[in-house]
Amino acid sequence: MSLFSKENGEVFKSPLNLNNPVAVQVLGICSALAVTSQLKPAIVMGLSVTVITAFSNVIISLLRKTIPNRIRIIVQLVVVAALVTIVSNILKAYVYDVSVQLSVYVGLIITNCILMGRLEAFAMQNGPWESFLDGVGNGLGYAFVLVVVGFFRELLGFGTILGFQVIPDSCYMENGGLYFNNGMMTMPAMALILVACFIWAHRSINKEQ
Amino acid sequence: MAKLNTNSNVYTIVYASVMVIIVAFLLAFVASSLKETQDANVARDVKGQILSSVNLRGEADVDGKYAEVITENENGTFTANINGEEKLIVPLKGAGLWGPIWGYISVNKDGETVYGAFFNHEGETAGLGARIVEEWFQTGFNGKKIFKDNEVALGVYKAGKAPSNLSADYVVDAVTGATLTSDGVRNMIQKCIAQYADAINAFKGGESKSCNAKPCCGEEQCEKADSCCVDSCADCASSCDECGACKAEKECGACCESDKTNK
Repeated sequence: MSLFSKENGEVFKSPLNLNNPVAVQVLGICSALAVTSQLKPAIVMGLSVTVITAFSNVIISLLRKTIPNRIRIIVQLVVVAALVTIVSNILKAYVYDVSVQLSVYVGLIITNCILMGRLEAFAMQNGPWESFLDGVGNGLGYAFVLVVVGFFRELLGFGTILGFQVIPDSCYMENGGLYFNNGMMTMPAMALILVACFIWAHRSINKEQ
Repeated sequence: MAKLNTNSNVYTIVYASVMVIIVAFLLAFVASSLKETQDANVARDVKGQILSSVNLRGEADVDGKYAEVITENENGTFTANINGEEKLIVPLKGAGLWGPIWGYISVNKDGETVYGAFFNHEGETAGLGARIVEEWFQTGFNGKKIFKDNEVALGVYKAGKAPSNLSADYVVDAVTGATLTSDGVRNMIQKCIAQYADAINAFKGGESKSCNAKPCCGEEQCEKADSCCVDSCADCASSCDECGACKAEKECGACCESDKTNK
């Protein structure tokens, strides 16, 4: 069986679009609301989840034949928690300002339903390589939604992208223009509405669902 | 090899124990090897917060700027040297709505006017209470007055809700929708600055002020010790009158003489 067979490609690609964890399975919504008020934390959160899903999938897949059935959820949790703790320590050491911004949400990756869902539904039945692809695919599918939501929230809420001003200063009310930032965008409720818009667009593009 | 019975009790217990021990060692190793970098980050963050309180926000070289501008004092305050002018930075700690809030506020040499302020929080509501970290709120403190009748009058109030005897010099506009956090900021400012009132007075007077209330009032306990503080010995008599504790002008004069010799 080749590493990049058609089935494996499907494992990787389907969570990016047709089986997107956020847009289709509606998992991981909570953190999608919390960390998307700006683009940078959204990207970091998406990458952290991708890394953690991929590696916890691999680890659980390697261990799957040895894990006692009665404590399998606990074993999965311990693996995820250990990885999350390591990632959060690394963030704190090397990108401190982002870790402050993400605050408790990195720790809450442990409770992200996408992780437990993939471990239980995929890694427990499949080999390490497929599980790795599945983890990366699902992580990126989640990250993609976060980045889209984060992009619009930062653009409309702050007039910036990744901290750079993109809406010219002269357009603002205080400088005689007609534009002002939409404060609603900075609030979590708006993320929910944007996620809903994303799902709407996603469904109308993929009619066959 | 015979297949292990992965459902036996012994296997389950051994498996769980081994797993937990491995994970514990792994986490302990990661945490201790990264601790130094993390502590340095935390220390740099605190320095950045202190610099923010003297309106030096977003410095690229926090450590360098901090070493250049800030001196730490023994009583927990900081002295900043901004373009040759000294500012006293007072640390603030208080309670917001959901958790601790803290900050730093810097005072001009007159011991009266706010030069800059910085606030931060642990878990205030995003978009509401959390906005106390934003610059527009913090710069609202610049140029405000702190003391009125020797009490800390500076406070954060909803528009129109400030006590009527307070002029706009003492009032900072509260954050909309975050009444409890704003109240927390006000309480924190008033409580913490009051605790450092002596330090601010000492900073204001500098070295010239040694003729303070205590020698004026002799052995007697002066109730309004603070209001007895005088800047020069010429003011001593009148200030003693206000104080009411030192009855004889002579006594007062004498103590001022002794103060002079102390100088």
